[in-house]
Amino acid sequence: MSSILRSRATRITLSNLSPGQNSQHAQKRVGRGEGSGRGGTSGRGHKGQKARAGNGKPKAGFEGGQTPITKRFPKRGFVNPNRKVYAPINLDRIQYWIDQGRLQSSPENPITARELLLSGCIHNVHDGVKLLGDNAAFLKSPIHITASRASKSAIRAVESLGGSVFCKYYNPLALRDCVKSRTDHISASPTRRTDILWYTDWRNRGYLSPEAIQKNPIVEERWKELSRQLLAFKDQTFDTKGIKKL
Amino acid sequence: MATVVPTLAQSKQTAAPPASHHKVITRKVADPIKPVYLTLSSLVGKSKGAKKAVALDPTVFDHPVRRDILHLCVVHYLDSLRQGTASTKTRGEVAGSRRKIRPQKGSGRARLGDRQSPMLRGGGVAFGPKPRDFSTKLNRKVIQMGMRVALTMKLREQRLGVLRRINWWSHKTATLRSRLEGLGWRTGTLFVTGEPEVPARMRLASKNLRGTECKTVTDLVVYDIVKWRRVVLDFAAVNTLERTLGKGLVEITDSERVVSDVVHASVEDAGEVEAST
Repeated sequence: MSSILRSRATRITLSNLSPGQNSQHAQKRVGRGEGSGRGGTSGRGHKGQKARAGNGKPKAGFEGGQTPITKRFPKRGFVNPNRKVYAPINLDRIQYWIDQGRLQSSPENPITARELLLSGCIHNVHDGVKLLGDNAAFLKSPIHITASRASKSAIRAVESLGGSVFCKYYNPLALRDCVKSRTDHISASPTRRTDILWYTDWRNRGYLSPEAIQKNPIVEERWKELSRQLLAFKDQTFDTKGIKKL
Repeated sequence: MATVVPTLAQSKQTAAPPASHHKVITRKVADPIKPVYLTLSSLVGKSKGAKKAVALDPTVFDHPVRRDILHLCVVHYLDSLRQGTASTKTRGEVAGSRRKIRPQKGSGRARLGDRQSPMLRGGGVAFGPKPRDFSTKLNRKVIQMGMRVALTMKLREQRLGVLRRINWWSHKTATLRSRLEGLGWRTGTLFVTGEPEVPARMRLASKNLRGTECKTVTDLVVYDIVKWRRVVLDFAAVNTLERTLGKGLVEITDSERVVSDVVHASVEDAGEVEAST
């Protein structure tokens, strides 16, 4: 206490440095003699289950036989292994990054998950990036972005300024290649029915929709064939010739 | 929200607050930030003639005092120096067989297992030291603040000096020794140069002098500043320190560094480096 009251006129040397008041707490060391106040039984009292070496409890969460809190309530639901968590990115944040000069986009070099992550616009890509339209009024410049998903209002806002949005399917490997900027792998096409229907739909700006194949400046040859094949079901009919009607 | 017109700054330097917040931060123009002054020293000195002052960035050299942060920085540095090679053998590492020394019952003595038990003489150590790393993490910005506080304290205690260049004309130690004795800088002086290497002749001349040391500014740590009685920087070192540690509010260019005719009150505070007898 006297060190606070003493005037600090002495020069600072290696011998008069001290930590801030109450910034460092002495470690509790049990079983080191009576003088410490924690000798002998080391704060455990005398005998009993809790005084023994090891855990001292039958198992975690055991409440002496009373129904434990983890058993009082019923289990509910299931965990979907196909669940996708998209990293949300709003339009106002993208505009702010462009104003700071941390993001640039052009039709040939659209903003992808990689640019967003490296510029610090998003902190984790999770299962992909979803473009959302919060504060769309703040968007001033035309942006060209390729995301995993995009909301309808975001698409509307971007395209009204002359930008472009395309939604591409990224599985975990494809997303990793996108973020690490690897071009030696082929990105897989969607296989699930829901994904196929989603990414072949121009309303979602899916990259496999016929309109997107035409409009997208970056288009792989593979996608053109994929688009044709995945949308073939729309014109297919059953071959009913020669089948007897019941 | 629909009625507010959004405004965003276009410049890169001053980042505007995020679009969703509409606060504008202003600073009073009434109190501009003034540099702190220090008398310019010289290794090749003329005793006559008006002394010149050096303008220093106050965000680096006039920082509020934080002695506890100096303590943190010094302890962190000393931790990093620890070799951490103390080693003992546990009961599993002590050489010996697993044979039970005497039967469990019947001998009338305490029960014992193998010879390497920590209870026994010659047995292993129970919780003895093992080679480990004692280095700790200290936030980068805390270390930077420590540098600022240390330089400030050195300036306030009149133990900081600034030279134009840390250079010596001869490689002979005797010449430098006599000059330093004349300046009163013979013992406890740390020369810090901002050049990539300490100039060769200075290095050779000072190498054998026990009370002096030459370092580059990139190797400078808070511990050095606190340890050495006197810290002498050169202009390049001051530039580097102000660039890396400063807040960028006061920009002192090379032409503004030396001030010949400082009229206002702070020239009285421009003390000289305290010379030891």
